[in-house]
Amino acid sequence: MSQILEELMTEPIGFIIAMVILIAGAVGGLYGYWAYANHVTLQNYLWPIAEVVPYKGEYFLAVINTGYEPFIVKQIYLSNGSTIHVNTKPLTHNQWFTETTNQLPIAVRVCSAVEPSVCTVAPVHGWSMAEVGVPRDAILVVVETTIEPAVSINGPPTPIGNPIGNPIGNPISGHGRGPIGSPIGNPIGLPINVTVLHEPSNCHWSLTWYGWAGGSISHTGNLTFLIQPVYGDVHFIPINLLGPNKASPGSVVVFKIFCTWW
Amino acid sequence: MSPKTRAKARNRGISSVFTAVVIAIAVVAGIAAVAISWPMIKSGFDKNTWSGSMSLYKVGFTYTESGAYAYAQNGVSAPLNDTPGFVGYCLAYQYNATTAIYSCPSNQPDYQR
Repeated sequence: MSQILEELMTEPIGFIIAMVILIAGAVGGLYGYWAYANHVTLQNYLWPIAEVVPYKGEYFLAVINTGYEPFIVKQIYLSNGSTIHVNTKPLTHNQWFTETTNQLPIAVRVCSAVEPSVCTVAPVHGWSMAEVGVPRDAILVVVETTIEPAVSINGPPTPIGNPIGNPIGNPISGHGRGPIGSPIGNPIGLPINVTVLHEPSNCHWSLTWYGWAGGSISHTGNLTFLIQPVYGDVHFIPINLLGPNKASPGSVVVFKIFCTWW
Repeated sequence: MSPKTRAKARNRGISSVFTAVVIAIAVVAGIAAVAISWPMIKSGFDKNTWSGSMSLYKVGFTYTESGAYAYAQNGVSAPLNDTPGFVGYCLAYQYNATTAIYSCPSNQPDYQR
């Protein structure tokens, strides 16, 4: 064996063969490493950010390219294990892609627009809720019509087929055509859900305030506004509103619309 | 000098050339490997820097005379609407008169919500 190696290393033909093998190996190895390095480099420069917020019973997803390497959004992974295939146009720096889904998106797969085989998966960030801050020299006034939560009323135990409060067996007369055949009744023991609109939203109200600076506003229906600037407590004179009679700077005051109808 | 001695001397010469060429190839391959690696290494550092900056990216909310505003970093701000909109790299909208819902790069992924 060592004799063969000696031959290869010392004879001119063997020398040439050895050189060819060595150079081919070196070039092949370098080429493979170069391809790998290029792949990793390109992947490292794919900078997607994916955000989601709940909106009207669905999920509003947005994907932004925060980098300079253009990419295509290929897939959206949902929390129930399903996948949405999207294949967007290339997104360049600071461009968004949005989508509404009925399941929570948990990740997106994006691929380079230059080299589609280079892909990366970005997790979708969760959302938070924040109170919108009121400046220290202001008071936020929220005037709103409220809808009370559903109220359960356990009606009197009347048999099905009879209206609430109607004594059994007493027919109810309709207009001109004798007894009502099947009046709507409350089944025994079942609650009735009632949603109460607190007060009508077309009620006209007004609010006057005084303190360091005074003012007033008149409006119909819901309104959110800022009293600014204020220094020290502000006192209110509400008309057709229910709420506090004074507030401090930097706070939120909520008034409920309350009209008296004659 | 006998023919045997001459052959030995020639063989030693070829061996020396072979060794020299192998060393040259190794040196060239080493330099090439470093040159190829550098962009990859730099991209790794760049990605870490980007991840770091994104993990600090936040948004704040305030009221102005013209309504509620969201302000992100680098002086980016936008009015809050009742539909989701973009404020810098954040997504935000006004949920009710005093509450905003938002998602920013600094928010951690939360699959439970």
